[in-house]
Amino acid sequence: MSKVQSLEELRKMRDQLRNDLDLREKSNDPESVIQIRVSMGTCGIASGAKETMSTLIYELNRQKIPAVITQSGCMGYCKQEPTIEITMPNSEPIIFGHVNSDRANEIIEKYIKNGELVADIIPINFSTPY
Amino acid sequence: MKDIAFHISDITENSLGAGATEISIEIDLRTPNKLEVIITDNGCGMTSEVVSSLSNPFYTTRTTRKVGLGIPFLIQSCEQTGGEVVIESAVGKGTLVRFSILTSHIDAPPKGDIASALAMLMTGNPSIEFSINIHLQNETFLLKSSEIKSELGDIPISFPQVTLFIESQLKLFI
Repeated sequence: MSKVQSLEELRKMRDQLRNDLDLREKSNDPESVIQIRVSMGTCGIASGAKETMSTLIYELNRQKIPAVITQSGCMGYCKQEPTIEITMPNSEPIIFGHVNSDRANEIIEKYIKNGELVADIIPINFSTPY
Repeated sequence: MKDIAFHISDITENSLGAGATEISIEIDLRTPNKLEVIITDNGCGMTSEVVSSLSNPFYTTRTTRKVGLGIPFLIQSCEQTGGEVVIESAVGKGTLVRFSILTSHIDAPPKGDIASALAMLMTGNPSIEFSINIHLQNETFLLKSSEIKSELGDIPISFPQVTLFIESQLKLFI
């Protein structure tokens, strides 16, 4: 039974990530990196959430933007799928709808890097029954 | 659902919804022209009445809307190739979903990017213990969340770089 072949590679990556992100000091503060949740219910997956998540993973890694990307279930915005929720450090979360790969890139460029808002934001400040 | 990778993500999502903390995904490629997937969880499980109504798209436990399409879509994708879907569940113990697709059949959906789907499941749900088994003709590849996490230490598993690494490891096998 073969295991992960390059654990060594994984350790190197860990050390490099530590350096890159200076996490050692910040690790007590989970708010210090950008948190992104991709909605992956049946509705999200069927509308292409997987490509959206792939694009985010690829681009954020390429541009060395410190972020963690996780999945969530259906957030109840099936009509606007794929949807993603972005929580910038020390900010309120914002949900974006209709995020295909192109829009994911646009959101990285405009919102994540420059703090500009882009179209199709789903207001979440009012309480929803979900 | 465009491909088999989508189905795997979708069925695993059900396990997450059932409150599972451990999920095992086995992909069996030992039989030529057949792909079998077994997803086992330790979630809340279902009664036999619920299991028997799963094929009905108008059955759902959700209260937000009236349809549940994940399992019906899966049944369609499998049965149209001559494969099958088997679901076993026990309340309080967990659920097993086994499905097979005859990949040589003209109606078989494409495989899709299974490595990427598995990597995203594992790193996208950092609190869940995933165990991924890929059975090939002569060998078995086993990857566990715990193994990765213990190597990473205080670095979260959900960093894009980690996802890409796991994906590259899985791509060697699937």
